[in-house]
Amino acid sequence: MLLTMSKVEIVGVKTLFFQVLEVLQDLGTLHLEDITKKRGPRYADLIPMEMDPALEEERNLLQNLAMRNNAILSELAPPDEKINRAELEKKYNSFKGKTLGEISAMVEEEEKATRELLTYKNELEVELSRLSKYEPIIKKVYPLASKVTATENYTSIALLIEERYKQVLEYIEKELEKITGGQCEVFSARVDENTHAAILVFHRRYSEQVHNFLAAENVNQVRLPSELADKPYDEALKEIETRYQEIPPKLKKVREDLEEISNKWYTTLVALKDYLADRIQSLEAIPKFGQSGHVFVITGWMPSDKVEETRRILEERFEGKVELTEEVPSHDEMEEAPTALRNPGAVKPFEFIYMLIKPPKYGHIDPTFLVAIFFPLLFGFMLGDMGYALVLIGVVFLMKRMLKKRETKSIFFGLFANVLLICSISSFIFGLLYFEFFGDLLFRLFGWKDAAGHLEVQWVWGYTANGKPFGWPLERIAQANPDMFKLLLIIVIIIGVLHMGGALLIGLIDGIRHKDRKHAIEKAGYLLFILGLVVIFGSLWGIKSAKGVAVPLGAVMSLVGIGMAGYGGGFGGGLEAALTFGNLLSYARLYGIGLASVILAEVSNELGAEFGGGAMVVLGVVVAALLHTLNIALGVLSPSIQSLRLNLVESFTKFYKESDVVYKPFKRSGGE
Amino acid sequence: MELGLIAIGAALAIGLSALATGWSQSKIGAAMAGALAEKPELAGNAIIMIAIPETMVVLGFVISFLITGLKPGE
Repeated sequence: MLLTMSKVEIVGVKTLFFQVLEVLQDLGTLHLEDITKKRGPRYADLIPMEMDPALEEERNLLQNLAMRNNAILSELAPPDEKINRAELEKKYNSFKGKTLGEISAMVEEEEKATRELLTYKNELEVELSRLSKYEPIIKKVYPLASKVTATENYTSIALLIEERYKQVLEYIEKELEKITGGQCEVFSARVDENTHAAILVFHRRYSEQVHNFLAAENVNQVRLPSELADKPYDEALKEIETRYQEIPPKLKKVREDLEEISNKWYTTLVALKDYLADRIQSLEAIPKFGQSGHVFVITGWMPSDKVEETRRILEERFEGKVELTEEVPSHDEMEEAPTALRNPGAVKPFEFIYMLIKPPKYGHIDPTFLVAIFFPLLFGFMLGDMGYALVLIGVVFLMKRMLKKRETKSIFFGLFANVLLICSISSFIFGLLYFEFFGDLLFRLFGWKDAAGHLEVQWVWGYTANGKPFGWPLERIAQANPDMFKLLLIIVIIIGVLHMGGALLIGLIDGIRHKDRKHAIEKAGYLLFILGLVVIFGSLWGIKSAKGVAVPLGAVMSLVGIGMAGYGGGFGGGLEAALTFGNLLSYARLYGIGLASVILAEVSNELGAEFGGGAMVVLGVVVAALLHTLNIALGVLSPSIQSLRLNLVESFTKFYKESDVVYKPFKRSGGE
Repeated sequence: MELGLIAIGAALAIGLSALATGWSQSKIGAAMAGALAEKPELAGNAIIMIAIPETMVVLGFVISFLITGLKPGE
């Protein structure tokens, strides 16, 4: 449901402005309005408040401090233990008594303690990553380089050549001898099955010619870090190897030191981050307020049940110098009222739908309860399998554990876990109705299948027109029994009628509540059209004796319905009413998706069983398990999307009005 | 002969509807991918839009399933 909001105006003596702002931020209930965007006589005498240069400077300093503090925070890993709320609150409050100079000194101290370590850590990480690029080369060239003894006048170059081009080495050797006049030597060896390494040793005076020759021939040289480029190869490689070994323990020590700092400072840094963010938020809110003479004016919205409490607190704290009044909003102001949702625990997870669309407009009905009823119902109808449901409950358990261990902070992840849990329960209940456990495993176990592979009903509820029994378990693959198929189709259409009927009823109530006659007539027309169809098909498929009266009556109801929809919504409304029939048929997907899922489950079992007995049983179980896993993954994805679609396309389009303003109270930051 | 026609009918029901869905989804998918590059907040709408043409193949599947249940001579 949507929270009832009240439009409020807070007026007080200007000297108390910042204290009032602090109280409002602590209470965290007021959704601020920007007075500069307000029009009308009520706001004509108000001048928007401005930030004087001193406040501008304060804000800049706060932003600078926040940036530096956040930079330190982002470099520190959070401590293993969860931050203690009470301690965070204590630290936060301790900043209230401090001057900006004191806070600035504290940030400097933090920077001093961490900067050196962070720089050192970054240097080590960069060097380690740089050296790690040389590691494979070292491994290949080092054994060869250790055999080379170079003197001061001689220099060396290392080459790595693919095995298939090793003949090139002979050519290089000949050319090198020509360039250097024989003052050279080439050491080469096969270092792995694809690579040949070679070290060319030659007199230093021919260095330029040799490099030019290699460049012209497009031969890739092994390049070492620039600071080691002048050293003989064996020495350079030895040094790289030594440094490569030395860095990890140093890095470990630095990380430990940083962890120690994090354990000591993290809560303080988070508290400071919140404090600075709140101060900045307060200052930035100033231009939204109005002033007149010696008073300031703050306008906004708050939940109606919070008005009295806020009024009392302001009264007590400021001894009557600040007054809160509840305004009667104009029609235009009502359009800007923010939306806030407050739903009970079982319905709340389904607010996830507002991550896909905007929340409902204030003053209209919140349809979350409708989603909470039909989303799991539609999901369970499609994926009704006790085994799959148990697997999904296990997945939910793992997700909850991840959330508890704080491995993810995603709000969507948390909501999804709860929605999946409710849907899994629904899936289990439908699974019980169909008596499906990983497809037809239980039927095979209990031998409830006849020779043709069809299900034998255990608890007969009645007989279809062709004399076949139906009851528990409800057979979904009713291929051999068209009447049963028709029955299942009727069930999904009934679900559709209820779902769309619920949506239209909300639209009708909304129309009546807002005294929007045409809107109400349009929705009533849709409803009448659907009811007419129910009467017609109910008599054709159900009470056949009433066919003579029911069919004409249903037809009249449907036609009147189209007429009413046309009157209320124009040509589009009439057309939409006729298309509602298509919307109803769309619910047949519930049967189709479910059928695909159950057939794939049975195929998995059949394929697993094909492997026969003995040791092959294990292979059969593995194959069946793999296919079932695929089916579960598809089974979650497809019913979720289809259920979502039925809610958003078939249901919400009938009544839903989106809000542009979401309730965002002016409140303190909540830590990390 | 009749059994063969039943099988062809079932294959056409699922095959043509699957092709139609695939074609529509390719168009919608490409358009939504472009839209998402500009506005990532449309992800929810993208899922719904892409799911819309699935109606065809789902209904095609149901019809195909019904047809395969027919016996020659019925």
